[in-house]
Amino acid sequence: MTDPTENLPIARSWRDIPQEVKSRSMSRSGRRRHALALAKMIGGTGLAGALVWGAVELVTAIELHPKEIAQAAQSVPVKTLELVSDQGALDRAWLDRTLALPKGVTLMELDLAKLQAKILANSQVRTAVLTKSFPDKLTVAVVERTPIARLKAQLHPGELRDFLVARDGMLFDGIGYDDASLGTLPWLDLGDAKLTRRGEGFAPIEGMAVVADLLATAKAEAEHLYGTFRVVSLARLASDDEIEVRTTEMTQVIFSTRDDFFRQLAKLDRVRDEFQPTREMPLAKVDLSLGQFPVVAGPVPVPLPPANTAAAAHAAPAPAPARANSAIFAFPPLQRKSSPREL
Amino acid sequence: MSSRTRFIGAVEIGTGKITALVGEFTGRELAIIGYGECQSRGVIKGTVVDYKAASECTHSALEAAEQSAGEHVDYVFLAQTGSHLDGFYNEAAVNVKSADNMVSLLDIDTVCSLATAKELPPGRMVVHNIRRPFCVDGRVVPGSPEYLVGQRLEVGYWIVHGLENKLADNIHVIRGFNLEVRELVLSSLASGHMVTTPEERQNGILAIDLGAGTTDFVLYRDGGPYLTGVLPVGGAHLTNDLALGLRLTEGQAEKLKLRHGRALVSPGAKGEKVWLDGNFSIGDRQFPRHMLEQITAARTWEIFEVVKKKLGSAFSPETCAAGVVLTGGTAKLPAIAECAAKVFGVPAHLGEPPPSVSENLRDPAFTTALGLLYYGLASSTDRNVQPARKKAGFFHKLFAGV
Repeated sequence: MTDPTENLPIARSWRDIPQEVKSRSMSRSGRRRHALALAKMIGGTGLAGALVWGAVELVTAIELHPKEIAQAAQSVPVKTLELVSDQGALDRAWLDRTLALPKGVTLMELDLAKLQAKILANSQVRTAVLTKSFPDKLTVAVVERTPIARLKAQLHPGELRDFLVARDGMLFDGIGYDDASLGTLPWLDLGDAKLTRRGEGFAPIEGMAVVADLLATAKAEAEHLYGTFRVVSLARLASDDEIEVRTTEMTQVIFSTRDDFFRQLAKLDRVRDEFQPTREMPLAKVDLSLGQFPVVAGPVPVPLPPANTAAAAHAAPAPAPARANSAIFAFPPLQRKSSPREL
Repeated sequence: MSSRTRFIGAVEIGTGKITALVGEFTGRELAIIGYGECQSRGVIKGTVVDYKAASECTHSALEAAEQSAGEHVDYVFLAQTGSHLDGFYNEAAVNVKSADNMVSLLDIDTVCSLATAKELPPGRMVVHNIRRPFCVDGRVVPGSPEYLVGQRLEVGYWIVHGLENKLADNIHVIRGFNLEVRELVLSSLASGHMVTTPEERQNGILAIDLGAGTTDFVLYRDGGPYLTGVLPVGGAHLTNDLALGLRLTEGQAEKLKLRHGRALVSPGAKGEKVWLDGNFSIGDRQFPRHMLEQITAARTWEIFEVVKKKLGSAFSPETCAAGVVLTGGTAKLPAIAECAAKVFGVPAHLGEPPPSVSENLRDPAFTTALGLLYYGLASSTDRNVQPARKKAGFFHKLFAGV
């Protein structure tokens, strides 16, 4: 069967009229428009061609003469090395020592990943961002770890020295801190736990976040109490969810990690006010983990040993507190009318 | 401005003046952003007779429009008029092929191809194929007949054709400005689209565009154009009649026509006299108003009579319920609507563009150019050509105009 539309006469449409027009039949404005369009086309084609040519030349140069490209980029050595730190403990001298950039090195020669690894090798640095600012500036922005406690540990045999402990449990040397500010930090007693080695340093200590919360709350809300903290022990943290603190006035203060630290500090403050212990007559034990009523034992006539010797937790565990003449007090005392709610 | 935005020019090369509009088409909306006009030269009765003169006028109108828009036109929709344009009706029918008698796209394509396949005399070209509604088994289908059930599918086309060389002259005038003619639209369709509403087109309406050199008309039925035509008579003939009848120069006659011309003789005109200039200058003289009005009214009446005769049996008061709508520069003649109403025997009124059109473009003289933009865009969409998307992009812009 044939298609009925085959061999149909086709009427020509106005669209069949060719729209090409010769330049001589154009008006002056038409010629101007045409020239403008032509110039635009030539310019655009030239620009596109130049871009393509430039790209081809660049690829060729990179493939055939990579040294020349590198030399061209190596022309300016690093002049400025800038350190931006959030804490300000680390200084430019430390950065120079750590990076140990060769003299006359250019930005193009620097391997930022390697330099970053060098910086992060120091556990005091939490994050490091290195930025090349051409032609000759290298900026290193670091975020440092904040120390919350001190610890004596032996990294190499026969080399017992002090480390600082951060909230995330990382141990670091504490470069740039003065002795006075470090002296306010409590010592850390790991109890039965052992430090484990990782690479050139130690693995993070677990459970430090909760200790950090306690110390931060104490420092912020009860600085007079925080100033008496000498040793913070993790001995009962894993087993009983308790943190044991030795202060200059109390041999053993037990905080529960399940209760609000602020409330417990308030109770401790009340006990301290009530019994007014001293270095010479310290309280033997204050247990804040037993709900609303702290248990107070003491006083103990035997004074505490000096803090720095007792705090050599790992190397030399602290001696057990003296128990002589100890007695258990109900607190608050029954003769007092004050309600424990006041705490 | 997005990359889909196009600046479309609408150009009407008329006998009295040349109008150019610039429309900013964003793909969804059309905004008129510039216009320019120029006194026409080298054009007689809608046909270019002096290429250079017509080109200069058209290009200066386009330049003015581009300047007022602040943008360059990308392509042009061009109005087409002239007595060389003619039309005829051709229809075809096919038997629906599928076994379940459901009309398919193939049936529609076949019947449309058959209806538009008509050999034209040498030197003539199709300007428009205006489709009338489909019929399925004699039932009129206003939309697409696809999926309707029937045995016989019929369609008719009003085919408008014109002389190739005259169409080419008009196109080359635009090409001389280094612009592409994207659409060629009959003036009557453009102006009719602008002054009629879809409801009026559905009820049947006759739109008459009275220009200076030509009178274009289109009869709408069933929502679409049914028949079109062009008369080589317009407002310039009224001026010419006055010049001959009152022994005046063309300029004087034009002045009198604009000031005192009427499409119907007013009852109080007898015995009244009007001054030529009215400033008591040397050569200023008086003319009987009655005589002046008789001349303009007779010619106007005659124009409408010729239109009515050309429409023949296609026009009847029953099939043209919405009446007659008048537009174009000559439609500003006083009492012309009453004259049309008397001749056609149906209500007549002056056409007005939609309210969205700004005040300075509401003059009837701009109707065709405005309609060009709207009708041109609509027909572009109908042909599934999306002007905003088709050639958008860097390379199109780069090579545009070369």
